[in-house]
Amino acid sequence: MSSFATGMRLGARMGAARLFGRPLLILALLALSTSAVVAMSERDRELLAAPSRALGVVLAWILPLVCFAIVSLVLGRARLDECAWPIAKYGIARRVVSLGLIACSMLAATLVGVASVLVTLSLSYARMPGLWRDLVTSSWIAALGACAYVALFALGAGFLRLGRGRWAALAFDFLIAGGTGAVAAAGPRAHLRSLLGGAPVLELSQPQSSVWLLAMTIGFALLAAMRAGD
Amino acid sequence: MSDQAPVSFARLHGRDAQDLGALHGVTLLVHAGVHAFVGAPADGTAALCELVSGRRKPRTGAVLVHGREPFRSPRTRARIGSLLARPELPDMPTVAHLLAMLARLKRIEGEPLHELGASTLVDRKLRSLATREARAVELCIALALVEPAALVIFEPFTECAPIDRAAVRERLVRRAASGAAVIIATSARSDAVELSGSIHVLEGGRLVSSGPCGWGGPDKRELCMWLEGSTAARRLAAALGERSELSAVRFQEQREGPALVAVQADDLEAAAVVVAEVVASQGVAVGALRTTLELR
Repeated sequence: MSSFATGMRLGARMGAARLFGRPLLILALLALSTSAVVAMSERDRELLAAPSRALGVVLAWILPLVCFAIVSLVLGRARLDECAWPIAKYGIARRVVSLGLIACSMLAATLVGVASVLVTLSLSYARMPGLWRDLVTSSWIAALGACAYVALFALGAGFLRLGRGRWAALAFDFLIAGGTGAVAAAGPRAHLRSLLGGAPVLELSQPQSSVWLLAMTIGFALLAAMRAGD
Repeated sequence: MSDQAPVSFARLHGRDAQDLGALHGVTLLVHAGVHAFVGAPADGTAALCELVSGRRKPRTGAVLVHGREPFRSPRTRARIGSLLARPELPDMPTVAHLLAMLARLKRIEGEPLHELGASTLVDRKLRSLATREARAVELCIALALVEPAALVIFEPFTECAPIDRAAVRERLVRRAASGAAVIIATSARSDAVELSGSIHVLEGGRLVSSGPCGWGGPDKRELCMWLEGSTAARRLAAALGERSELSAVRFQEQREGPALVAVQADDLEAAAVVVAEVVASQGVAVGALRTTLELR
């Protein structure tokens, strides 16, 4: 097996060992229960618009916070490159181990994100038709969004002492990246809103926004790995 | 700098991850053999270990292991065994899993925990290990490395158990004999004397004395120089520390008055020639010079 594959595997395994446990379970329960509360309150307010409104809240608020918490669980109080050290010291490049850690975080964030969407739509649709179709579409949007957010926060975690740069990435997403201009195009938030039928970013179509999200996921993850170094 | 030295420091500045201490401009060639760096973590011993192992990047200057920077070269790190101040083992279910993984990667050979008196830890879960046990596992792994270029061991006998002290000592000597630079950082002078062929003293992040046998007793002959300005004296001491003709070099900063640089050698006349060469090459002005049998 090549050293790249070995490093990725060991990084992912280390990430899984740090991640899968009681904290992730609590995080998932918190995300699911919040999604359920949002869905039920939106259903009580306006039945027909409930699914899209509830989904908007979940993807705009719950998904980024879940991704941030997952990246924090995997990295602990360390920068991404420092986090890779326990394996990197045996002669594997930090960037490869980091990619494994990021991949593992993406998987966990996708699972929690899609489960949140499932709960939200199931409860907000009530007995209205169209649940399954919406479920499939919203699930891949949530999965793509989760991966993009994890990549963004991992990139942030490569900066500042104790990886505090991820807080800057979170602040950027919440405070700056919600518009429709060029700055907003650099973060996942506006593209996710566009994919849910909201205002487009830079007049991009929905397929174009999904390609942007995918490119963002790959680009941020590779930049984070490069930042982690050898 | 000589190519034969497995490890070299060039005006090395850097801190450790926990901010315990820092190195300030250390220049030294570390040849194959056992070298003890004596000092507290605040004197830069922890920083030294982290910089040589590749855990941290130097702030300025360079640390090279076989001509490569360990921080930037995974291939070089694969040949450096390290035990740092804080144990950092990969997250694996048990110690046996970790050893199997490293054996698959061809990083270690043999059964290190059995050979070094830590066999009781093999079946333990990694998360259940106390700090001293995790350090013992790391030490065993470091000493079992295949063809190491360097071993960097921070406080091998403090907060590190269970371990067979005699077996560790024997393994360190064997590794040094096979061409590795074995760097021991310790605050215990007794450990340094027990383990080491060369003793280097770190004080406030600076190398203040360096020599194959450490600073000898009062019966050793010494050549003492007094210089105005501690920077020039420190530079001179560092340069003298690289000369194999001298058995020990000592630097002492005085609160008032000139700084002292003292050297010891078996042949004091030859040492005087070496000192003259180094003084000329460094361009420092020596205020006073004399030999003495009793310096301390």
